[in-house]
Amino acid sequence: MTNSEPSAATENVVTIDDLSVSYGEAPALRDVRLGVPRQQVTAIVGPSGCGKSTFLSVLNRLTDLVPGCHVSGRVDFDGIDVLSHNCDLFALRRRVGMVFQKPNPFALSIRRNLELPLREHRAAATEIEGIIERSLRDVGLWDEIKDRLNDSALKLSGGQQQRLCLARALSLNPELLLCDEPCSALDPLSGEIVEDLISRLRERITVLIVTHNLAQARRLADKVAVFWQQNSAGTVIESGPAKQIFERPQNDITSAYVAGSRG
Amino acid sequence: MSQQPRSAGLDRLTAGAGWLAVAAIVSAFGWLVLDIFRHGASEVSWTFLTGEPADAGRAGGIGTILVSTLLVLGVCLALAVPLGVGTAIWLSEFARPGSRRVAAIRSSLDLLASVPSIVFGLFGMVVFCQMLRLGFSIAAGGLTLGCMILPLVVQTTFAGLQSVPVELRAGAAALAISRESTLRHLLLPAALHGVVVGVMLGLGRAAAETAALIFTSGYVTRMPESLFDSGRTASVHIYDLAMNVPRGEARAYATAAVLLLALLLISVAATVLADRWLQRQTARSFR
Repeated sequence: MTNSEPSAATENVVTIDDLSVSYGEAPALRDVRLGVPRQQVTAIVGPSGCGKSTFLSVLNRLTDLVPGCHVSGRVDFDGIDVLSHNCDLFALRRRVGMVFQKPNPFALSIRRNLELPLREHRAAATEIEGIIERSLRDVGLWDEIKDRLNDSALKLSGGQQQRLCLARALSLNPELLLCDEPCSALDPLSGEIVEDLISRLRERITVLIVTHNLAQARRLADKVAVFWQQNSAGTVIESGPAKQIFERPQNDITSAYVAGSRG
Repeated sequence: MSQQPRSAGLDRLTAGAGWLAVAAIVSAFGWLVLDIFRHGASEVSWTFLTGEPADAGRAGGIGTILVSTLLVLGVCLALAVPLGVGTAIWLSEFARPGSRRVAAIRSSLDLLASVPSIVFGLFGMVVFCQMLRLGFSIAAGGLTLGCMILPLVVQTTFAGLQSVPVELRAGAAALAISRESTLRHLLLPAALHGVVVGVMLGLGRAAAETAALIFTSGYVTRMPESLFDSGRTASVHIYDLAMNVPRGEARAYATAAVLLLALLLISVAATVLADRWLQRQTARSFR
């Protein structure tokens, strides 16, 4: 059900060309080329240290936070030149949500965790309550926590915290969701819940997920991009429909990797 | 085989030495406090707390001294807290890390922190008393102490801001929350404990100061009429009673007991208030 071949007509919502990233003198990514098809789940797989997380943080320009990080190339997100100096980061980050590896709720109440970004994005005061409920229902948290919205978000379990972070990202109605190994810090049961939620999102939005877990990529992804370190910088060695990557990989490294004998 | 018992013995020895050090520190502090209260408590009374010193401090009270002390500390905090917290926010959040300006500011703060207080006294006398024509006044003394504790406030606030995990900043940025909102709603609350600790340490240092004040706010014992009046703080009073006034020791002890108790109360109050504010801040909705 999840591994359906993307139809030829699927357009890319994000197009990445010649992307290179370095931290000071140290290269992290070189000549990355990738298209991310609209309303599908694209999985980024590959061994540690090949620039997968760096790649994600280019797309919402979180790389700006890292002193000495240099990014070159072209990233087009639905007509927006993401790497341009004139790119409106506020608008970009509203349209591109992100969920991190470690749940990172703010040290505020559950309600305020959702309220702060909504207010920042000028949601009408009359709508905020409704958006909070809808976002929490989206991630299946509403019934669990509707009676303690004023409790600190840090009191929630790890899995609940991650779902809250997912709800927080979804509350802004993003078109693209970046997920950086969102299940790897969770217990298997919570991980499964989060994975299911992400899987269902493809009906509405485009998802780009970094994962170490090939089985997860197999279950989730419509498209897979394999990152590998070559000449001390990460790059995409192969990308394509998930079925093709897992069953008929073209690249020798890819076939060894998906077979479990490399990486 | 012989390694096992030896390392266990070493462990016990290290733990023992640690306990000994703790015991030494606690008992030294306890002895100090007990000594002060044993000698001073009997002198403390309502008239002592409210009266004006008489007979060079051997008689009367310390009411005017307490007022001067509060005013000097008030001026000191009014300068050091906004300036110190502001500097720390700029250094931590707005300046480019590793830039030459940041390095210059940080090393001058370190230098400032190691300057002996008597040098601050001379500086205050020249700058505040003479150049700014404040004379021997509570304002001049308070401003001098403010300069003295500034590095402490900057460093603790800076450490508080820096201790906020990087995931939190990234999370806020990914939600396009502005730097100002991130600072106000997420970073400052997280750094508040650092700020309170810094201010309390600074307050303690300022309240203990004598050398810097003798040159700047003077040692007149009458009730100050304004911030531009000279005034004697509690620690200057203690110093004077102990060193210059024969048979002044009892009153010196009593003043020390009052000062110690007041600092303790302020410290507890500040911590409780900060905690309460933080709790409200955390739980409250924006509406």
